[in-house]
Amino acid sequence: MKTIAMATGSAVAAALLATAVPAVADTVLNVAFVQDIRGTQPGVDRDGQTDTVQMHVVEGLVAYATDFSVKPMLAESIEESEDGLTYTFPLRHGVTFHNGAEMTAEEVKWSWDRYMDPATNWRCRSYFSGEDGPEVTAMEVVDPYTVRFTLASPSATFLGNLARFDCGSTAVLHPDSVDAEGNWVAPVGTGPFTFGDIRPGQYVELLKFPDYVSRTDEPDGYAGAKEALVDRVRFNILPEAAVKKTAFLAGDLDISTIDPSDIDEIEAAPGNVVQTVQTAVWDAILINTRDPLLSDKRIRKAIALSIDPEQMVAVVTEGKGSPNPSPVPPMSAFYGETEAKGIGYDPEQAKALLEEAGYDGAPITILTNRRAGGYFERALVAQAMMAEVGLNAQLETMEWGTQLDKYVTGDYQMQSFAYSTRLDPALSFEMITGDHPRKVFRTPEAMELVEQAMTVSEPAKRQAIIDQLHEAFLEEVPAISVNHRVMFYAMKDHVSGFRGWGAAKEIYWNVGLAE
Amino acid sequence: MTFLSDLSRRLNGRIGLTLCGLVLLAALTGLLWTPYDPVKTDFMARFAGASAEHLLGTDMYGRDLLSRVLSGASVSILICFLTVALAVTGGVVLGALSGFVGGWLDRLVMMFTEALMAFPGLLLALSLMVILGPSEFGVILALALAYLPSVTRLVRGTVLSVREKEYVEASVALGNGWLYTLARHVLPNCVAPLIVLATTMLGWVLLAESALSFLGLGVPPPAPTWGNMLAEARGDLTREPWLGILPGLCISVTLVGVNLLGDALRDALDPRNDRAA
Amino acid sequence: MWLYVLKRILMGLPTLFLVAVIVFALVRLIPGDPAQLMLGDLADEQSLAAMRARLGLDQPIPLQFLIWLGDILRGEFGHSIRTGEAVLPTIMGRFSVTASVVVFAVLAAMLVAAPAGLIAARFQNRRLDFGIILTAIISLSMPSFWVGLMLLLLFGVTLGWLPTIGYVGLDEDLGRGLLYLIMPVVALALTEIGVLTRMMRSSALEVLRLEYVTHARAKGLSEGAVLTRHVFRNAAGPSLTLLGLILASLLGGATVTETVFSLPGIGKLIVDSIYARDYPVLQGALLLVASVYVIVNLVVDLLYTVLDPRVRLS
Repeated sequence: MKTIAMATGSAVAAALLATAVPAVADTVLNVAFVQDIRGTQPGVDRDGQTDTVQMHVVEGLVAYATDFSVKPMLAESIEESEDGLTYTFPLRHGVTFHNGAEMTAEEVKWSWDRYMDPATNWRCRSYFSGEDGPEVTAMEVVDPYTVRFTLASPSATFLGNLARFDCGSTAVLHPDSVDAEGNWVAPVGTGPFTFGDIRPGQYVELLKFPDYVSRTDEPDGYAGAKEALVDRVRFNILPEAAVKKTAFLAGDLDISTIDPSDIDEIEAAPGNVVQTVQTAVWDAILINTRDPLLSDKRIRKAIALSIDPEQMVAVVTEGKGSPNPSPVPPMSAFYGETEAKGIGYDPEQAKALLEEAGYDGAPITILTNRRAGGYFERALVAQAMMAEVGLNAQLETMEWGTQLDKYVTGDYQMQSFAYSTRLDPALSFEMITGDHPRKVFRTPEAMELVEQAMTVSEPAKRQAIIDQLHEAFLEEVPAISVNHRVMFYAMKDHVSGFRGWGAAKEIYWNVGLAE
Repeated sequence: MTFLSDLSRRLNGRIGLTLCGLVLLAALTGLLWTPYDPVKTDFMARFAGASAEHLLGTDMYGRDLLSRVLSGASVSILICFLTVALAVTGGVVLGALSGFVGGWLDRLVMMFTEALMAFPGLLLALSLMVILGPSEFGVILALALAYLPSVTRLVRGTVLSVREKEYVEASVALGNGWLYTLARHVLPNCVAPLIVLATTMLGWVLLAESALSFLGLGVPPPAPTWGNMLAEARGDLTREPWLGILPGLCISVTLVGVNLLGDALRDALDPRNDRAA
Repeated sequence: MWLYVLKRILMGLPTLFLVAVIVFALVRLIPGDPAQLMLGDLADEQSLAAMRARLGLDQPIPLQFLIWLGDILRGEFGHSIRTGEAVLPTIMGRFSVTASVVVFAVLAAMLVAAPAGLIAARFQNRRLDFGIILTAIISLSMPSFWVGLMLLLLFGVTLGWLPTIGYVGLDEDLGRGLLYLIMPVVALALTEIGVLTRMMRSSALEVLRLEYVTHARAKGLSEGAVLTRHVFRNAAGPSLTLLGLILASLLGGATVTETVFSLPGIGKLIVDSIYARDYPVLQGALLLVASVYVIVNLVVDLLYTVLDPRVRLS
């Protein structure tokens, strides 16, 4: 154990010469974290959880704000040409890397070239190489503080893709991040924290970067002003919810996500505060449109009509959340009246449809798992509600990896599922639409509409397409949209400044500990 | 019947028999009748305390606890018995053949059991559960396989120790088939140690099932077993301790009963012990 | 003598090979795809294929086995799919955490169980005997995660005496390290106390039947002296061999305790790796745990031969 920790520690220490380990009485923010990080390389060694940690250490030219608009981060501003083909980013002056060097257009260019090198294995390369969206034909250094991107054709998603979390925010890195052969060492970025001790199975620590140069605009999601108010943030790896809750109650954690059923108990204890956050994580029950029984649209519709979304969400979130009939998150600028319209709850019509379809009580299996996030509860409630109209639903509870496998191969009837944050409405539909077995929304009409939504950038036209998609979604019933997840953060009352946001990614800068 | 009365004359036997009897009664009841459907949810009546309607209250999904405990008893006990039956049958066949036939077969079986034994039972069961998928049968198969090597070794050892005995050689000399000799003269020697091993195993299965449920790979909910009820209640221990205490108590009482009975059986079966003791 | 030792070691080799085959088969029969798990719901065809190729999962299975076996023989265990760490140092590090908990737990259990078992045997079939045995049985009748969570709630939350999460290596800070070990050691020891007490009692009963105990008593030795000098010494022998095996199986089987107390041990590593389909780590860790068992078994066997001349002759 110790050897690995020390090896990681010393590698990081060597890379981050400027970082001095605080000597005495440093402040530590202890937070709960679900699993080990995959590595320190943004956009490459990653998963959703890893992104959350890495985003404290690195920053890109642009970043997502709380309302999911894209704002400048390392760029001073964003200048888009009339024809939508060039984007010019003047850079902020005086931003320092963790090794003390100043950030200039050189490093931005170096970082970009490295990402676009196939050998880097950057997750998002295809979005910019022309395979999956308009190609970036040129990326030039205009002057030491300006860079310019040229696109082959206009794109509605270029800025958004640059800022994506799974792309590591296309972080600007110093060349010291890799060794002479180009192998990854550790991120030398510009963020308010640097990596400290990484102990797999125990914790990941971030250290305050004392020379961080902050923006001056208001803190706003991943954009705006940032300041590390504690010396260390320790992400304690606690996958087991009961253990996490116990640790919070014992005072060994300052901030922890909790299950909705624990809210009352935790709020009742002195010194605890619970923050409720509406996120853009989509909870849904997928219906496999290729299943022999469920390929009958009337049965799918009957299932949807049998479910009372108000009651389901009330049960699962302890009355804190509200249902959403659309895959588009409620905070999206494209979420309008049309999106708020659902199929409705009508058990009588459901029974009539089943009668018409000649449903004979054949079992319908709903796959689910016991992960945090209410998967099991949603399936359990759905089963009970479906039973009310005579649908013979059975639950099959399995381990997540197995369920995911069945999701990918399309080997299931229904399943309780969730999709991580999509910040663009086109992507909210794209994730379920297509030909692949894992996609449930398979009509040619839907695929065509998604295609259009990806390219059209004019807001009114886009809105019309998204509205059409929603109507088609209600008509086809490839899934039951339950809600966009509400998350609950328990924290001790000496914690200040923590703000959850729709991206469901915790931010620990601007978070302090009172004495 | 003298055996049974012999058992009940010992204190441990008496308590063991009583506890096991109670558990069997609960399991039998659960098999035939429960006050409510044990998986029927009622989200209006969650965490309800004991009342005339729900004698033991309801759980986090408003399911009747008494029904779940009874039904859980039948599932848990059935799993225990089937697992032990499977492991014992498999182990007796393998162990007897291996010990009696000897030679390359013996070496092969022994190598295999030794390799299997090298894996801690729970880890072996855990990996098998992921492979087999979540179901009662998966649990039974996984746990039986984890215990198979112990039974095989025990039977083989006993067979080896009596194989050279005169009455066995005499039986073969008399022209009896080896299978007949095995069944008639060799295997009866295994019964006593097997019964003792089987009682330990029953308890282990109950604990292992609860551990598997805790790790998310036991009998899949919503079907109740004591193990997954306990695992499901773990998040509510501070708020509704009763939800955990109840299935936990059921498991512990069964284990105490089974172990006491096992001790009593061992004492009763040990020829050196004075029967009147 | 040395020939026997050599023969016995050689006999262990096919078993180890079989263990490796079982490990590989178990791991690869698990449904699921590490690449898919890593990319989650954001996966698309290109990134999946690229990830599989990176992980070497695009090779045929038998070839993957041979490659793995060859690598192992060269001491090359590969890198974790999940975290990219080298497997060998990871599993050795995790194993040492488990070992420190298990060794302390078994020692603690033995300290309680040995006298308890002796006393129970001495007063066989009396009330004291029954009381001890009943306590022992109750202590092994509780599901381990239940015991662990109760300890956490009592000492961590209600009393606030002990830390609920975290682990400090004994080599880093002995005092704090021990503090973090108290609860897991107690939780593990509780079960083992039950097992060992009963074992000690039955082997002590065997010894008590023997004539020399009667002789010792006849010589006028005090009951305490008889128990400690004669009975304990002779009863401890068979217990010790079993103890070795208990130790070996606990080293891989403390998974639940490690999960409850969030200890970075080998059992927890195995469970995490199963969930993440982290083949290299899972294979390495299972192989290590199983090999330790085979080796302990071998050593116990050989010790027996050395200590007991009758076995050597036959």
